[in-house]
Amino acid sequence: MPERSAAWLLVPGEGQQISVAQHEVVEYVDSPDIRQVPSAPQHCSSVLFWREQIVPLMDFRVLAGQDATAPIRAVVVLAYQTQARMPLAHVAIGVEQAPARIAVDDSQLCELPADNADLWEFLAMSCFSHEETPTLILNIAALCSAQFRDHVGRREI
Amino acid sequence: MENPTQSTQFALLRFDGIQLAFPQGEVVMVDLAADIQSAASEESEIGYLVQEAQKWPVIALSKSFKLLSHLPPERRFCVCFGAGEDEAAFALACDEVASLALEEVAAFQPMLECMQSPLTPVQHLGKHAEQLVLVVSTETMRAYMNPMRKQDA
Repeated sequence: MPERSAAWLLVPGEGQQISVAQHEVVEYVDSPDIRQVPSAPQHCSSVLFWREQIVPLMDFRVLAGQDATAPIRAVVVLAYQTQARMPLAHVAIGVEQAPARIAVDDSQLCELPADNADLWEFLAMSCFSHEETPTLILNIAALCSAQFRDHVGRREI
Repeated sequence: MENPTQSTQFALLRFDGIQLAFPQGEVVMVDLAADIQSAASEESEIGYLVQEAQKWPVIALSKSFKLLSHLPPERRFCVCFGAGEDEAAFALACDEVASLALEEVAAFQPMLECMQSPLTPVQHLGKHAEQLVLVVSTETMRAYMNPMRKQDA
């Protein structure tokens, strides 16, 4: 019997699924306090006022080339470290619904989605199939990195 | 040029829901929009403020930092930065201008790395009066706006 690991399933856009570790989810926020930052990259053009912090907000709909005109109605705040022993940092991801607890094992491994594969190769530690949908296991530090920001910027030119 | 991280006082410009903070020492003068002198019809500028042979072309930005071709009626003030020629000087139109001390800004932090781009003039973020504060400098705003102004010319 393959070993199953518990994780959170996030739905950041229509037909999109990503997964993060249990300990990486800090809070699900309904009706978040979002503020726009003019001239910032399109996929990260706003911030969240959250617990006395200003947290960047990632819109995966933009990364997937989907319509992102509808306001983000809920977010999940994630914690991550850029390196071991560094303080925790936080990032928010816009989601379509509350996160769901799932269990994952190696038998579910699958290929990354072909669309926007260059982005997912950057962001995904791995990929598994959940309810017949490829689901990225997200590298949160990579999502928030300057390298990913620059990679997206080069694609938009 | 003042380093925003070393500034303890800022000039806070408010327009269209935006709070834009410049190091106080970079402000040359504050004038009324009513004093704007019209630009010649072939020019792309909204107009100019003039004092003692120094001209400041007046710029109005939208909430998404795009150049506006006209001055919204709510923009009652112009804050002048820089001096000399060659696009060094400009005046930014705003609804209100106030002083802001660094200690009044909550969650003051460098611009988040994942949000930086070669285009963004924002150097720091903060929170004041339940609104986001975007901290910029004359240099970064000039570098951001001048390509747009050249395109419109």
